[in-house]
Amino acid sequence: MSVPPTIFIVDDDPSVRRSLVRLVQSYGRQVREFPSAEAFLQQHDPGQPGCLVLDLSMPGLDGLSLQRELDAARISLPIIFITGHGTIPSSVQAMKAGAIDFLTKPVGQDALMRAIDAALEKDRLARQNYAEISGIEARLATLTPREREVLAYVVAGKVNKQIAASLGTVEKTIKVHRSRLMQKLGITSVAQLVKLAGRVGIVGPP
Amino acid sequence: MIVHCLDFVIFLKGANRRLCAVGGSTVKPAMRTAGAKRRASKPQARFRVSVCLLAALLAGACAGFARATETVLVLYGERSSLAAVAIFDETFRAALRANPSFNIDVASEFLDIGRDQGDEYFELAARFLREKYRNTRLLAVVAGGPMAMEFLLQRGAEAFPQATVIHAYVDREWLAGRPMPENVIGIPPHFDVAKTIDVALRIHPNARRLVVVAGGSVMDRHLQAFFRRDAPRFSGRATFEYWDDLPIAETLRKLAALPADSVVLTSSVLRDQTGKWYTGRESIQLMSAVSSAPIYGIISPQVGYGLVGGYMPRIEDTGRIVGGIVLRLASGEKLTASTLIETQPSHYIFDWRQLQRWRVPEHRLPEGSVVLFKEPSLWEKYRWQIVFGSTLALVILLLCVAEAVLIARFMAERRKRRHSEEELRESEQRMSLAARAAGLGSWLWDLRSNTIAVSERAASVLGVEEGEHIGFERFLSMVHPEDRRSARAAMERLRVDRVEFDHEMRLLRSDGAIRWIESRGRAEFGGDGQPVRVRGVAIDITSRKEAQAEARRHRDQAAHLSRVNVLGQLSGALAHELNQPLSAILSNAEAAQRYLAQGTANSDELREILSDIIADDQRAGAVIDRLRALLKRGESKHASVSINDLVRDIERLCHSDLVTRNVRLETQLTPDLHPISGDRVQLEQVLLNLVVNACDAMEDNDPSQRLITIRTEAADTDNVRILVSDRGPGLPPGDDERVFEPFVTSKAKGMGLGLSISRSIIAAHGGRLWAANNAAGGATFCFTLPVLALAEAA
Repeated sequence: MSVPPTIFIVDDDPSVRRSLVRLVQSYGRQVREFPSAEAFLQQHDPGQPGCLVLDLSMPGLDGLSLQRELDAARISLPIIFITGHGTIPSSVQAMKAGAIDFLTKPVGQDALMRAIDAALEKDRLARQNYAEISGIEARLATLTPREREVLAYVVAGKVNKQIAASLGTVEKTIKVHRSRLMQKLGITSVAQLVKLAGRVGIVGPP
Repeated sequence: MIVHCLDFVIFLKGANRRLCAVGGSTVKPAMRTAGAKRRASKPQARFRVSVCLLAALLAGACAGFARATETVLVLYGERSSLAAVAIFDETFRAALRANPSFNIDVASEFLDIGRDQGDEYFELAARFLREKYRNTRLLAVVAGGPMAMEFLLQRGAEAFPQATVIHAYVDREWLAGRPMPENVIGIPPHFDVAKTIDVALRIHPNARRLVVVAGGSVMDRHLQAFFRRDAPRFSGRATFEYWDDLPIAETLRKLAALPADSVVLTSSVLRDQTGKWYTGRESIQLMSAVSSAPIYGIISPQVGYGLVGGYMPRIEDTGRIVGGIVLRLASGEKLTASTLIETQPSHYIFDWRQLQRWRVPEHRLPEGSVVLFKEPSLWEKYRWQIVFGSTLALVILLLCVAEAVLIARFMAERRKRRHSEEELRESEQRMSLAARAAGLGSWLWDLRSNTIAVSERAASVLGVEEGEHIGFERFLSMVHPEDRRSARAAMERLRVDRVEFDHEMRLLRSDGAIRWIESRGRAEFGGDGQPVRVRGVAIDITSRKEAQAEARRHRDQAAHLSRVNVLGQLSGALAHELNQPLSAILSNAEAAQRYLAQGTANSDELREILSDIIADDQRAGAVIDRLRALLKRGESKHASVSINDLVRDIERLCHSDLVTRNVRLETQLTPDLHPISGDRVQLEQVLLNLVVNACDAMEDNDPSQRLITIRTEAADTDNVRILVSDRGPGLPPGDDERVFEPFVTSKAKGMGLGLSISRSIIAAHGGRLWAANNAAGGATFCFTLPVLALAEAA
């Protein structure tokens, strides 16, 4: 990965925030700090890989609300919650909404760094996956509508004759479409085609 | 005694050896001593026998004198947070203190069993205890509760070889189920739960459904079994239902939904199904707060925390009984399981407040019931006020009489030249008779000779002869030193201002006793318009003063309890308040450690980290100080207080709670308000109470509509005012006074005491507390306090 991940620390208590920043920096990590959930939302760049270390109870927008906001904006930044006194309902809610961990203050470095490592790994995989899918989708976008139709039938396991019958044309035309779409997608075998289509959810003709 | 004997032999032998060593001899000590008696065939044995005899004699002789300290170890099976532990400890120690001729030290250990530790834990505990008490003279080991007894049965021989074990609060049935060695003694309680069931059914004759609630710990299950055992005897009268080991939330939900013909029976819920631990008091408090049926039980410390009552052994009795056994052991009595065969008596115990709550008339209680927390009847409560009121009425009446007599006397004096003095004497006699009947002493201060003459009654209070003329300075010397200055000032003022005199002061009698008197007088003037004498009456008001002090103590206690209660509600937020600085300290310290380990530490960075750690430590300390001040029990102390500071303090204290509950607090503080005279802690309590109430009232509001406003302002020149407004639903119409009544509450968990205690605190400060609904919605609670200058003059 070219861009190093950043740990975003959001806590309204300046002394807690400063201490967390120091601790995470002592592990050689890149850190950005925010005094409130609102400040984070304003300045956050979704393209920046990393994870969020988030205080649960803050005046204004609290931790759980920020989690909801990010979710609504389809920003899948992994979140580690920290709290001075966690209640069971709030931790359940946070974990259900996909939080990586729910740590109670005082937070020890081992627990925190373990959670951060897990969060960064999750973020890395998510971004990698996203990049692959975007690539495939970009290539799929170059196909003509007819080629997409043919692709769906090939994926469903139909031979050229069957496809030609279904689409009301001759086998030869299908053959041309087929070789052109393989070429556009940069693949050489039907197996590769099935795998690629599976990644973006194409399993057969609609 | 045998143990003593052995100790002495060892001790003497040891001493002997040391003496010999000092003497520089190489001869074995025993041989050397024996050497003096060469005729003896087995000198060593002879020596030992004689020493043993000597030791026995010494030990016997010592019995009547000061003894070496002996230790009793109390081993509790549970946690130290259980109320039963504190009650036992207190009464047990008191029982030991009752006989000061023994020097007995009490050590306590808490095993905290019941969390299902295995054998390994027992083994480790036994090893630890053996090592810790290896060199302690253990008079006995007390097993506090069945769990401790279980431990001692399994591992006692290992941990405390040969020690006498006294069981405390280990019931008869529990003991009967296990083989008991002869060194285990005690007077066990007996849980006769049939009597509790029976009394509950007698008190609630319409009850048809009995619900037995118990937790899931070993103790919970053990006690609950008694109910299962005895229930069939009542099968004709009611049906039984068992709620064993449910999550507490479910228990509470079910309790709240019980129909009217139910009665709840409980032993204890120390652990619920989710594995969370409670003290017996905590669980009963939770249950009682929501239960729609009365709760009866068998564990005495739970009375006062929601239990209506029951038939139960008292832990106080256990403490006394075990103390008695220890003293008997200490005096050398030999006690075995077969010499102690009694059972600890049980009592019917009830909580008066719960009887009121469930409208139980007292005549339904069995004969000999102990009723705790009884609020005195009007006469009992206001006895002193009534006595004082009537006395005051009499005093006023007598003053009128005295005045009339004075006028009569004055007229008589004018008549004197014409009439006989008989009439005057008669009226004086009448007055003194009336004064004596009312317990009034009269006095006459002659300003020209500066002496005071007193009547018989006053003379007996002062400890002087009737009719004796006491010099003014001598009189002042009888006044309590702390009151002397004000008494002198009051009396001098009378001479100068010619006003009436009304003063309370303490007299310090020669026997050291302190009497409070109230004295009233009026100056009489000579022909030149100058005062010549002061005539007055005095009354002993010591008992009224004591009653007032007692009332104040009660108010302080109630205030303390209510403070603890409201802080309990904030405990989560306070934990947060402490965890913030602790968290920062930990992370800072860990970061510094890493920098040092990596060798990347730069001294500026480290200095910054250290100063942050110090600042956070101080911040945590300040939280604890604030809490400690509020939790401290004590007499109210008045000092100059700025109400704006008060508001700021509360703002800090509540900060976390407000954030968690999504409530905004705005303050509008008028600067430069006069300070007031008051007890800071109690006033903070009132404010805290109002803020917590306001938060509760807005629980159902949308977060944007959760706003508390605190305003301070001058009410008039002599008073300041604090207003706490919320945006809740407001008070139900007509209830703006009812909320101040005790035990009136709209909260599921509240006791309904906060506002009534707040009002009495404000009243004691000379102010007023009331509530009103806002025109724009919500309620405002408002209190006034007199500013300092005025309060001082009052």
